[in-house]
Amino acid sequence: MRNVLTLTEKELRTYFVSPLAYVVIAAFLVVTGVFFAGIFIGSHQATMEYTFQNMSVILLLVSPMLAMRLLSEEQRSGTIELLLTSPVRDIEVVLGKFFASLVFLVTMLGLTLYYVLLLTRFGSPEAGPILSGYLGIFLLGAAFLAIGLFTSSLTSNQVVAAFLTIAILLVLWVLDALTSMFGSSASAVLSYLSLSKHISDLPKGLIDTKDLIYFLSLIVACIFLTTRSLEARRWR
Amino acid sequence: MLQRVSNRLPAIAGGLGAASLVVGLGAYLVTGQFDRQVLILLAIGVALLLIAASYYPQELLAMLRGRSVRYGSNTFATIVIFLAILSLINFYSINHSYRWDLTASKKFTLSQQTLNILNKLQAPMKLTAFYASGTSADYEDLLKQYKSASDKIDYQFIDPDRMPAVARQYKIQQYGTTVIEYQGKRQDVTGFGEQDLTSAILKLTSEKTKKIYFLAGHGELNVDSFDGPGGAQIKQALQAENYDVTVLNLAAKGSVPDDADVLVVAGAKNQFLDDEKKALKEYLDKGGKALIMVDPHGSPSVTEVLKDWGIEVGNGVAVDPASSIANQPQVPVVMQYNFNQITKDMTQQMTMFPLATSITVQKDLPKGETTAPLFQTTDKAWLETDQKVIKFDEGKDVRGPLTLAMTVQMGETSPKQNPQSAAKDEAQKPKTRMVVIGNSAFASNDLAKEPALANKHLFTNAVNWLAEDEDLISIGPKEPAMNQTFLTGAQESFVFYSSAVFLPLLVIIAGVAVWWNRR
Repeated sequence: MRNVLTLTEKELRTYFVSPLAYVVIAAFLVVTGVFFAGIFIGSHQATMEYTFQNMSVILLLVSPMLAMRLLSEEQRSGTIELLLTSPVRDIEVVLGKFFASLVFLVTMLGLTLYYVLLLTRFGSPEAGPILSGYLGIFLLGAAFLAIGLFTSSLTSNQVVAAFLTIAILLVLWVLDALTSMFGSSASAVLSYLSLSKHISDLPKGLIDTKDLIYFLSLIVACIFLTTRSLEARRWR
Repeated sequence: MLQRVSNRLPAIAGGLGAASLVVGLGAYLVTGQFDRQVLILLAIGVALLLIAASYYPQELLAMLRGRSVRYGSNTFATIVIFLAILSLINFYSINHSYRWDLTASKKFTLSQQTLNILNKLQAPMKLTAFYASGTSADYEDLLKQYKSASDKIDYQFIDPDRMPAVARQYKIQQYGTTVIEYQGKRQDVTGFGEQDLTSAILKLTSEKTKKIYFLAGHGELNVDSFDGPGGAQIKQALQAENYDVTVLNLAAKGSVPDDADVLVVAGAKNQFLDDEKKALKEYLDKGGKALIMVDPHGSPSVTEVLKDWGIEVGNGVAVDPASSIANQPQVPVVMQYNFNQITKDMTQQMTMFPLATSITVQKDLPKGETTAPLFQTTDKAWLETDQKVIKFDEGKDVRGPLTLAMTVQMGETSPKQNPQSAAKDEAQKPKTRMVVIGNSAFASNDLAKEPALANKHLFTNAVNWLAEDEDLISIGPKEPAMNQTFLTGAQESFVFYSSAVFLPLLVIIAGVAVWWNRR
């Protein structure tokens, strides 16, 4: 575990000294801010529900940029060999990187708490849906990052990693809408796999173990696949 | 030149692909619909990105090929096993899920009454909801709960604009209609609350149809007349809701029949016989349900019966210069309703009451009785006692807002903490329910068939509420979360600039500071 924390810390330093981090956070805040303000002013409702919905799509585009560097940069510069031959286990490397990206995500989401502050200042929003919404957005972002981490382990090119991630996320996102093309049992499976389906209820204030298990499984699966992918480097 | 262009091709393709994805997603975000244009945009985006990726063949090939022959099969096996375990966990969780409802109104929790009724379903039940796209999110949440509560229930949403053929096949008249089909029978619902849906399901599943009696013989609305002032329109509306409508002559029958679910007294004009009045009183005292429509200077007998319940019928005509038909202040128009089961789906709808009177409540009501106003005139209105001159006379006329309709209930009907023990105490007491409306002409054919008015809707909603089973009444409507917020212009600017400009700017400043420090 200490190895994981050391790696996380090192990774975080790399994140926050690069200008990219600030640009990404600022861009994220501009877009969500415009959506939030527009929705709040337009709908006259002190709720985060619709902001969360927009946030999830914005995260879909932002997360690949956060995750693309994680392992592909190490592969491009060759430092991955050092990491893999050092006395840390693959899973520790992967978790260290993943946790660092999670801290980044939490920072980004944490700044959006300012919106909640505005809502409470001018209205009386319901606390429950905001709590469950943040839980959902966090899990969704974590799943995005886990998928991005996995693709970044596949290639030493950051751009390829990012585009591949976006493509995968998009397919997973719209899977639900494609179900009409398939038979009923296939469509049930496809619609269950769809990311967008599992983020629809949480921002409304409904926590369903189904959604939690889905996100956690997706994250665990990607972490697992990433360690396999790293291991495969040894004999490739 | 050509060389340089082709070198840049992957970047151009990638950029265009990303742009196409963004536009497609944006369209999806804005319209909320995943239609063909969005699909094409996304497909083009993904294709361009793949083309861009194909310019890096070495990376892609390394991903696909590799020296995986020796170790590959081993890794593959562990991956398959791992994913299989995860799938099993997910499969289990689908059928054994637990939900926490964090909303204040418990929006995602069905009442025990609904669950009981759903458990008794014998055959598949199909719900077809006709809603315009994008207007039904909350309602779909509700239907989802019904579906997850019973495996007999299935629902689908139809947008009447997109699939007019289906709407025509079902003979749908208005948006927001849900058709419930069960064992070859059909029931339409226009309400969108749990109580509406559950009572409609109950109507379909119960053997007996509910009976509505219309009192006759004292100049009441004639439900068999198709003339302008007649009431055939509302009779048809009730029949469409699977009610059995019968005219009742109290003088001939002697009492209100036992099978009456609701008695409608639609604007009696003349005095009742003593026996008739006694019969009406008895019906109400025994826990009858009645819709009583009274007019200014109507039957004194009805006024007296209502007086026993602490309800006073106004002695005059409601005049509302602020909200009425042009040049006819005696025809109040109502646009705002109090939130309750009868009027909850009538926001922004218009109802009209030609020559109405006010309904007021005496100070001390009989024990256990509660009343709730349904809607009022504006505060500019008054009750005109002298009809010859329409002018507010201080001291003689009553100032508005005048309540034009109210519900009267006897006994506990709010949800109970402990239904079992409370039910025992309450079982013996009569549970009379009344809706008293200070006008009868609103239900006449002329106004009921007017599509711009919600008069017919108000009438059927009132009857539905009265005819409802005792335990369904307590479900009540779920009030929407009270999070309405109106900002001043300055506050709007503050919200916008602080969240969309200053907050990101702070982050940029932090970034510059870090960069400066490291330099």
